[in-house]
Amino acid sequence: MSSSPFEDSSSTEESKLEELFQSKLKIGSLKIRGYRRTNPSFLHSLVVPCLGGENFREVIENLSIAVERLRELDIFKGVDVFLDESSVPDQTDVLVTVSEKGRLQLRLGTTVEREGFETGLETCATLRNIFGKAERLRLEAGTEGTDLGRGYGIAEFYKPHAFGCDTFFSAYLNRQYFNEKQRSHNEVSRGFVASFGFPQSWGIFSYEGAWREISVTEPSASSTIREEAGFSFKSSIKHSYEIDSRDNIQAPIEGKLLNIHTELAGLGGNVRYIRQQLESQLHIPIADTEASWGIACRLGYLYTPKSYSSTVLDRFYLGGPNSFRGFQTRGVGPYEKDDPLGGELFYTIFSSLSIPLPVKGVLGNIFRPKAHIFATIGDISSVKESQSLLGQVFTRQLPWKNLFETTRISIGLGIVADTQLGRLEVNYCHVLRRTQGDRIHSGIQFGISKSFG
Amino acid sequence: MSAQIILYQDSGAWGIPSTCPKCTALQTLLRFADVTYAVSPGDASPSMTEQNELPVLRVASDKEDVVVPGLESCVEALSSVGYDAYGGLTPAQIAETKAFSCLILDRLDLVRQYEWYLADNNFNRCTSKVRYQSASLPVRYVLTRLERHEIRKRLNVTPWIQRGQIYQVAKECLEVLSTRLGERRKYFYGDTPRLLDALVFGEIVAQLYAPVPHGRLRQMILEYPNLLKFVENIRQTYFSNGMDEMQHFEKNNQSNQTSPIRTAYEAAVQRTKQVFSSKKETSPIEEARKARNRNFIIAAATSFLIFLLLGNDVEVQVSE
Repeated sequence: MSSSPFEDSSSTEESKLEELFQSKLKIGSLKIRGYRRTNPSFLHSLVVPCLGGENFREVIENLSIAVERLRELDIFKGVDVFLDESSVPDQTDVLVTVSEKGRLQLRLGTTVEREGFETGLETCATLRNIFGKAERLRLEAGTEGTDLGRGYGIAEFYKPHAFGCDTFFSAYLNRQYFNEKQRSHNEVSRGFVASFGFPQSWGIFSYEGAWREISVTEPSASSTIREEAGFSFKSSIKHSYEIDSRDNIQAPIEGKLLNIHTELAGLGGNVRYIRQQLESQLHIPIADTEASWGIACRLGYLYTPKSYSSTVLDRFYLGGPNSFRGFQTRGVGPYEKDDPLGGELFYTIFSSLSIPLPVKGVLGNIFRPKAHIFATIGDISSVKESQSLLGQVFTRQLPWKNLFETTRISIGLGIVADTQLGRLEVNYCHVLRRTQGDRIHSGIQFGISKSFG
Repeated sequence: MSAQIILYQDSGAWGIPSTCPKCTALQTLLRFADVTYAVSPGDASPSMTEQNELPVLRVASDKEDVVVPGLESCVEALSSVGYDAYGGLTPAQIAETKAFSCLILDRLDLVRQYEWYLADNNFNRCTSKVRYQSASLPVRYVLTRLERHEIRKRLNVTPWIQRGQIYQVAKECLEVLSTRLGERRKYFYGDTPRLLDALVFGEIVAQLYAPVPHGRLRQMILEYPNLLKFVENIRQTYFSNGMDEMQHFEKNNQSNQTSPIRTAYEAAVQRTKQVFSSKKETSPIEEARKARNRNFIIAAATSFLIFLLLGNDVEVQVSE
């Protein structure tokens, strides 16, 4: 078979390129320039472990890891790496040039409360690089969900690479409140959280101590809220582990996610429980297009010992544009008067088929819109009174006739936009199945979130 | 499940029903009314009422829970079970009862709070050891100090406490109560105990049984034998099984077993389940709802398929 001249020249170039990548390369010295406030030994400690490699390809791959580490510090506007001929024969010098960002950052955006899967709005002021090792002090205030009646304030100190590369330490004080005028009570939590992170290996370990208060403000308060009112002190340790191979967090086309969050409360304090949440996602592209089918499963379980009982502050809630479309926020589950009581056991399965919309130009680049059709199935209950499948499994009852008696189902279609602010959704939802007491939100529903699901 | 009456109060100690005289008074009234009730274990929080005060009654049934906050509301609610706290009293006696209630709650009880909370020795050796017993150490320490701070704020704005007339006022109150009771009466109004009897019993029994190291108010009460006899009479008649008994049963009930107290959350979940199981939508409405669901699914799936086919992302090829 004869080959064309173009194919011959491209294969020649490829082989030359491959020869270059395989050529031996020995690193001589490392120079880092452009820093003013950052500690040079800290920068060296991040880059030097990445100066290995037997050939050109491996050196480039390792240096890209170093560049990524420096960019993740969020203290540099730009990080550039140059390879230059060394004064020592047969060696190559590495020159890293950085350009530092300003000390103070102000931000308005979205945030996601991982434990509650609710997204809210936040304003944040960050003081960067306090002591020269990329530490930061962050003051943040925001809402939980788009509801202004629920908010929080945080003062956080964060130190990256605290225990070696790719680790971190964080400590923060927080105050959360829940004070809607149309609700019957206030919830206030003041706490301290310290975290040690090993995200590449063991996950994130945290300790939380929180002083919480529930106080009744209206005569319409339910008896459950009244019984659970008062002060409590929660002392708990948490562990969070995540493996995320999705190509895009907000609008993934391909990849998987596994997130496990465990909390043990009862190291002192008068709150005692084990709380576990599991989330897994799978995204499969359709042929070679940007269309994809995604499925997100969530499961949560709250176990309290016999002489203790769970409260509205610790139970799970379902409902809203981020957890169960077609229902109001916290609209799924038992209600007493107008107070959502939450559940101790829940699961949801959210499935979505999405395809990109042919919108070109600036709008297409900013919003990257997709159309999607989705379905959600789920349930929430207390462990003792559960009729759901999972509740029956835990209580060892499996009457098949009651298997799906309290399962909720909603479907819908809508538009998804992947923006800097987050994942925006405008959906038309329809609730196929619900139970008495659920607060549904059929029709148009807006949502903003930080992640698919 | 039959209706349960559950009382939320400050927990008992020293062999008395509650460290809070108002809560003891309500328990006494429930026994006067011969009502079956149970006491929720542990210390209830005043935050459970919008007025920030105890006691609280919850009437739990299969249909709904009714919550009655505060002593006054609970006294009114007792009329629904056939007990009138003012029954048989003339209008003048009712007015007198209300005046004495103010005397006890707004004067005598403040002296008690002064002794128990503001006197360091009494607070450290007695009061702080029994308040919030069911809470763990850091919570117990903080809550007792918070409670003391709130009481101190309240007492600091009371004029006669500011002027140092504490025990003078207490003496006057006890003198008035003793004179009104007299030497031969069993109760304040005839042979049937009423609200005033419960209030006086609750206040005095707390003083008599609290082992405060410096209890000047207790010493003053001991000087009134008719009040002591009155308290002892009620204790023997209505608390024959002990004043710290957690559940009170009807006299004819042969068994001491009652259903355990269900938390309000469990009751609410059970009611949700029962409502869902029992209520079924009527056929025409159910049929219309199913038809809407079916039409929506068909319309959504059809429009999505049309969009896929008219767009360039999916092509369907039929193999030859």
